[in-house]
Amino acid sequence: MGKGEKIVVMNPMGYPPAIQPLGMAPRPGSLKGKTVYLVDCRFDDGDILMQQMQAWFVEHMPEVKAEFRRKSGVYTERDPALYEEIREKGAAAVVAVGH
Amino acid sequence: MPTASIQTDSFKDLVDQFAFARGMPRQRFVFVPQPVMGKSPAELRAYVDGRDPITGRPVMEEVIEALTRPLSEEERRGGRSDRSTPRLVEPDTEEDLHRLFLENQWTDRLPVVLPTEERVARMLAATSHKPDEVVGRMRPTSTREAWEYTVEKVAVNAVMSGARPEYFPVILALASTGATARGSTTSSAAAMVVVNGPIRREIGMNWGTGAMGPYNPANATIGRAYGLLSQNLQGGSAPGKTYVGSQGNNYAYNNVCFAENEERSPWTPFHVQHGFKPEESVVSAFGGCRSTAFTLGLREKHWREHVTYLLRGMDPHTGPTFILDPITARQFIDRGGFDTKEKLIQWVHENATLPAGIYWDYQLIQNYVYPRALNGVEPYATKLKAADDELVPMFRPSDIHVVVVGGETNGYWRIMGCGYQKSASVDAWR
Repeated sequence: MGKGEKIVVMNPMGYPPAIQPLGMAPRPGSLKGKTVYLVDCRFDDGDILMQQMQAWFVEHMPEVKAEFRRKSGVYTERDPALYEEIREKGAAAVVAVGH
Repeated sequence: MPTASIQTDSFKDLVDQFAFARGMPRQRFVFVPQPVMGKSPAELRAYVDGRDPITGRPVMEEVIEALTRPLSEEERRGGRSDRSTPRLVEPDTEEDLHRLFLENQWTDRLPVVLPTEERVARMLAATSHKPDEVVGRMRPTSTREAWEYTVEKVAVNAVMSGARPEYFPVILALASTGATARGSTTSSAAAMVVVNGPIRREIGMNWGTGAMGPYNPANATIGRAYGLLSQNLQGGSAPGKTYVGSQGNNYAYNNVCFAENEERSPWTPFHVQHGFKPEESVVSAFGGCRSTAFTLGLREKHWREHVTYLLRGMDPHTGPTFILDPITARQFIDRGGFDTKEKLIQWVHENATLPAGIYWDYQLIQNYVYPRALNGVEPYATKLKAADDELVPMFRPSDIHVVVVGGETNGYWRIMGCGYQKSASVDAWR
């Protein structure tokens, strides 16, 4: 093959799935008088971080009810019961800590 | 539900890519410093009171804003976005193509064989399966999107690894397992490959001296092909995005690929243990390969203690695979009467124990086993009831495996912490 001669080779990448864009949930505008769930997803001491965040809410935003919960199961697993509780009683959620 | 997701700053690129692939590219993230693990409550309060390392803004200001700021038009939007991968790369010189492959992170950073159509066609001639047949799907983690691949795409990666066409059915069988050799875990796990059956001789694999080292083209390139096809067919293994192993793992260059020494093993071959006939050719994939323990032989007086102390030093979350030279396999029979692999596995299960208090305090056990125990999953739920000083088994029998390999130059043996994933018929891909 001569120097500078161009060749054709094949692409080694697989085929990605289509992306289904999801619209985000509308925001309430204010958390005053509402409940925010602080959820530990059960990874690497995220529970301690969320408990510190709960303490922050008590000190700085006492008008917001901050509920701390530890998700059931390993961090990759869903917790339908907790999610249902958040849907029924919460206005928002903070989830930590991912990686 | 309006949600603010807290991540650590080491994973900014990963979360952006993940959110994009999951269809929510404008998901509202807030970052705190890495690590969270091992920090005191006071230190983590400082994270809460402090600033997002990525934006420089106060963490709690961002949290409140993430939960309350009205959505933009783009954040509200749904729809569908199709993606695909070209079959060919733009024509270029060899030198520039090598540079492109490296820049695109399509290689293991070693030189590859460029996959021309002629080379791929020669590889495809080694299987009866059509080029456009879907072989499987693979993903870097269970939470990431799965990419799909065909026989032709596997052939492209096999060519890149330097594999010969006669190895291709083994490589296809590995690809068909869907078990990635490029798992994205901060623990830096690698894979292991064990080949059984007549294919070993047909393609000249090594199961004797140096089998786990760089001394045989089939062992070397099949293992390398497994790594390349995993990273490319699953959508990538790019540090910070689709690979987050903190230290990396040198086993990943060839994924510890070898053939079992069925001829000199006193026991049933691995594939027969898993339901295949002795005359079938099979490849078995293992994952989570990180911890390794090692010693020489079994002493008459204290072999039990030596073995159990090795096991206590292993990662308690990942089952051990005993990788024994045939000399040591026979010693296990001489010392302990383990005339079957199953008897040895049962002994390991009963004797690899830890005080419960120590077992449950491992971070890996806290992350991956403790939540299951709380949910009542056995045997973990019962283990959780043990008193702190009560000895509990580290591993279930189903997590313990035994493979024989080596050339009997000495009775060295090792225990690899790795999880058996799946076996696949090589014959099905001829």
